[in-house]
Amino acid sequence: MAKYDLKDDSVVVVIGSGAGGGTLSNELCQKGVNVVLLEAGKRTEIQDFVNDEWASFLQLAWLDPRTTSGNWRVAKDFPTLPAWTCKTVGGTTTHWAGASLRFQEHEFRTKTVYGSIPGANLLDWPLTLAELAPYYAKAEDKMGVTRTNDIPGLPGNNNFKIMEYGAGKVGYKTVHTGRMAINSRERDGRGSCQQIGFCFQGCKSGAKWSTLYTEIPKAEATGRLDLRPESHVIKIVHDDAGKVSGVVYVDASGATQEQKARAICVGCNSIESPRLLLNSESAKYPDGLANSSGMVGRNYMRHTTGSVYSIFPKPVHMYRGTTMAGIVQDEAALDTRRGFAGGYELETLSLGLPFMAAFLEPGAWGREYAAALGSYANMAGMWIVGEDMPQANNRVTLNKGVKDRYGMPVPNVHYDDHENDIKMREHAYKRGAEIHQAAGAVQVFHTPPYPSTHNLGTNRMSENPKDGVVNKWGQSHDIKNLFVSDGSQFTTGGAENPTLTIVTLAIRQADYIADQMSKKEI
Amino acid sequence: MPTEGVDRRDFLISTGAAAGIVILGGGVMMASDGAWAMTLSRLKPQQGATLIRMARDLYAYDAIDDGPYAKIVEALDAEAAKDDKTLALLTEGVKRLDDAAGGNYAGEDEAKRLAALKANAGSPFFQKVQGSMINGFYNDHDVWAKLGYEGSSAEKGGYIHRGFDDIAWLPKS
Repeated sequence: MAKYDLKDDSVVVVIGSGAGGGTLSNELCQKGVNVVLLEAGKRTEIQDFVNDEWASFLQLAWLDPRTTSGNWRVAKDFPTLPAWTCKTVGGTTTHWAGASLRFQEHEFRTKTVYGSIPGANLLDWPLTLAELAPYYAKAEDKMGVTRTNDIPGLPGNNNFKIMEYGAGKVGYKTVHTGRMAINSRERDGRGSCQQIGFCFQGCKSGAKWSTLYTEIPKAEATGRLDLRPESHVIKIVHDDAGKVSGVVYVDASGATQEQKARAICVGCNSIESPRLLLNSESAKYPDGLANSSGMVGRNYMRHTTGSVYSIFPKPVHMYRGTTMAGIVQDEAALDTRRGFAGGYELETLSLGLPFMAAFLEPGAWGREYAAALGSYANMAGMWIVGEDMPQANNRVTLNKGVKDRYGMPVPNVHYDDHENDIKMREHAYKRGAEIHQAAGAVQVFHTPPYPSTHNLGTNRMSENPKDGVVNKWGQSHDIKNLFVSDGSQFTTGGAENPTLTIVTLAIRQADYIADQMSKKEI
Repeated sequence: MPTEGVDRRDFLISTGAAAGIVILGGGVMMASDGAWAMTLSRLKPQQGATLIRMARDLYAYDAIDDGPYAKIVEALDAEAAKDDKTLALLTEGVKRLDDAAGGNYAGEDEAKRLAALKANAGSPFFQKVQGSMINGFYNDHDVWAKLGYEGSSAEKGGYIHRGFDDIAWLPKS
């Protein structure tokens, strides 16, 4: 493992070790670039993971203070927990379920295809599916996505069998066990899925792709990666010419350090990335870095989520096996006859009893709710993942009235549901209920959205620098050696789980950064 | 005898479970059948009994005895022992709940208790007890066993050979 001097200004500094930052770091190291990877969390390895929801949450989740506002249900139910993301080496790839779907062609040009939707700040991406396709292929190969590269699908668990049967009865056609970055057989030095469950708590078998035990050790093996866990970046600094020159971070001992850099890549997920850019305000950049458009923190998206949990007359044991065990894709296409723009996926989901109690109907009590939880063994579940509308005022801002332990303003996450989001969620609740009822469900719950796991759009890509924060390479319009490498780049959210696209963009960004470095452009 | 002249209700309290609660000296309370016991350091036994009854009314399972509910109350008492604000929140909350039920919440019938609970729903006290139940009671391995949740599986090799796809009652499509 490499160790670079704090004053070494030849290194690329990557902030965050998840799907974006972890992948980018490895790709750069493979190309001979020296990388300092700063991760706010600890290095928790597979053997440390626990099959226990609350204990794992305390071990992996990002629990630094945050505030919320807006009419979204999360602000009422979980006012200090807008998102369920991770603070650990590997970032949220330790927690993600593994669903790896490519965006659809039209989802890169929603302004053109959906037209004008009042209140929505739609924009076409500055790139196309055709441009991304070769990188999607590289990402699928890297991650070992099932149903690509001749990798068989995973076997379906009980929760999937319920979905598959019901979906067939109501006439859905595209129903399968998903495209999952979970090994269905040994691959890339990792074993196959043991159907443990607890995908959200860190995969104990390593069958699920995570940067923690793929990209990061591979980058370390090059001798070019200097990974520094428990290094919380609080500010990016720049030189007199306006180029970024280094990052200020607090290390594991609590000491403040400054690492010099040739280029800086921000991959802290869509709440912390804009927060860091905003907290890096200076005399030259009074509104924060890369923010001449005013778009840093705006257009926050989180997918139109919600869940359908149903009780059946006989046992299901949905928690056995992969958490996201299968998918119905028929509603993902665009069909405005449904009364809304965009589409949604239905994916099986399960929670353990502890989290089910907290999430099934937050705030509920009494005999009826207790009885529902008492029927836990007979429950099946699915999750709605649909495209939500970008809105300029759905945004991450600095809450200067609340400071974190380093004295930095915490992020406030404001989200109002758009009318399109509500119509889509209601449609999905209804269709999800029909699937379960066709399989014999006797009681159906429309579970409101959990704290966000798909956080997107707060540093969005745009062709025109006035419309967004970064260009098609994730390079900031304002500062050419400053990059954004996570889901905050997304111009719009699509109906698909975002990790595959984040990894795809990171692979592509690495090519660009290496090229620009060789040409001395950065 | 220290019991002389004291209302028997203070010593044997019904909370709806098959076994009543017996109050011993020194803050110790136990099930009349001996299935569980707990020790309160700051809350009074009658307050503890009201809280156990409240906890059960929030999330009632006839098949679960007072033990897992008492664990939640014991944890609240332990928190109150470290923090006067929590003690005040619980003491005042219990009083309001008892008052809303006509003086003795635990001794009233279900309809009266539910009315008293509804009158207090959403209050900081109510949310404190409710949150402790959601986060604690449903995280209790004894409760998991009763409600059909199997918990950790990795050390058992997952479910690949233990029934991840064993559903047999679904018709063939």
